[in-house]
Amino acid sequence: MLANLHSFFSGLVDAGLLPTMFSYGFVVNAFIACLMIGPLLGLLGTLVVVKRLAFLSEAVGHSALTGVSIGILMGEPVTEPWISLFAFSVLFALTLQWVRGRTTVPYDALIGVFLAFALALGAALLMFVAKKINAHLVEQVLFGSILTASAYDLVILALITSVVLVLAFFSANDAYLNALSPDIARSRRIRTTLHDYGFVLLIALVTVAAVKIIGAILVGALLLIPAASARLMARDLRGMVGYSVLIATTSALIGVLLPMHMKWAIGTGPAIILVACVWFVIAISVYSLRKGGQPACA
Amino acid sequence: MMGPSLHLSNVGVTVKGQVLVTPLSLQLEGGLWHGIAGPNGGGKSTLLKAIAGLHNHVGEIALHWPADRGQIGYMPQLSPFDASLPVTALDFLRMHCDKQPVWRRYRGNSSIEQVIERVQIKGLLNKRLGTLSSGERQRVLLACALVKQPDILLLDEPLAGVDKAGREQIMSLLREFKAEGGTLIMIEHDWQILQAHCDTLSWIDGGLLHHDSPDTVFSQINSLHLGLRHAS
Repeated sequence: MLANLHSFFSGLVDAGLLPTMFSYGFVVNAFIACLMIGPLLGLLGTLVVVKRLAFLSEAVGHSALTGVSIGILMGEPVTEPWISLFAFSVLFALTLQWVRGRTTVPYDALIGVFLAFALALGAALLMFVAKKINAHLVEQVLFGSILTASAYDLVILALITSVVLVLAFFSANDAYLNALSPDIARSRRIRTTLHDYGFVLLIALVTVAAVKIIGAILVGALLLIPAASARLMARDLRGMVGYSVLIATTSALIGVLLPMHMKWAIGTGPAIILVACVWFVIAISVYSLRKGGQPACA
Repeated sequence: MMGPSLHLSNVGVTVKGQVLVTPLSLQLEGGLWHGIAGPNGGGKSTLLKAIAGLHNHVGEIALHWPADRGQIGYMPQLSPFDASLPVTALDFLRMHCDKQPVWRRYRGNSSIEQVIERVQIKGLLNKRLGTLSSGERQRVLLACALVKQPDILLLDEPLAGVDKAGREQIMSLLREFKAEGGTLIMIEHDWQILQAHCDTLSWIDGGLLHHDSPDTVFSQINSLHLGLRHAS
């Protein structure tokens, strides 16, 4: 199927409808990945912002670094350390949620402790990883690369996107209600603990799914920046979700394709996040114009 | 509609090692308006939350439904919402009962439309929750509690922060709910409201101290206070 898509894009290039870069299979793969990553992260990002858990997505993103290091040391392929990446990120997120329910430490402080642990462990393991493989390959994991999205990655991304979209369709209202008022949610027999675990699990899954393109360091930013920008521009929740998906998708597409087209030697992760930041500046401008220069309400 | 009766048998609540409600037993008849009053920190909200299923507790809390199990409407204490969050009153209502996810266009929902009409919040629907006044927010919270057509309402200070006109509007809706046969359990500080509307009153201060008609409970509390004053 992917070969057919490659042929289809090549046909469009031959017909002069697309730039020549689309004749490369890896560009088409990255393009398809962005079409899934954008809506996925844009949609889930709104819940991150409503729940005020921006720091959590950063922490889970950084834990991916440790997962990759463990995978490489255990002999997994450098560009596809899926098992350890999945296992560590999911374990990290679930343990964090489990400890949260059993301590009185504020959640942001707890996330800070877990983030520090994941970074320290990842940094320590990288020293051993650097002895085993070319250090430049680790850069791809840290900052993403247009070259690394394989057919296998796209299948995993498609699976995770499907799961999130199904859950978003059937459980979004309960999830938002739980985020805004857990008491009301519980009184309506919504299983809030299950929702909280499901949320951190989804954050871990989308982080893993997007880490090849955006990189471990910046994947959390694409969960946060589009939703934070959308929050400034939207008038209701529907608008916020719409803007967030639009901003995440366009950021991913422009961040991947523009440097390739312009032959700029920039990692896809930084490029995507820089485009998202441009969106954030636009959002602040829109918000300021709408408010007529009045200070933002708390 | 016929609201359920509520039987509490040796119900106590302990949170993180701290006893918030010492075990108490209480029977609240269905179809009546039951007030809960007591000093701040006396465990009223904790008890209501235990009834609503939000707190673990010891003892037994049993709702006896006259027919099939119905719905419980819970209205929590007024809490601040982030004013910059683009969540409108309609979004919040939709989260309670719309089968369509809130990120899709609103295509109308009979339960939501009915409650909007009943609570008269049409003008508030497109306002952000965080920008509503206390009274407006209480009306939206009440609409959310009513939207699934409950048989019993659990209300935690529904009149807090509400102006006189808003109070009358909320009380009128609650009177209507009772007239339809619903059971109400309401925490309230205003003695006049409790005396005028409630059929029974439970005075909670760490545990159940008094339970009777509002007039009787008030006279018991007054005589207790007078006794304490004389003793000191």
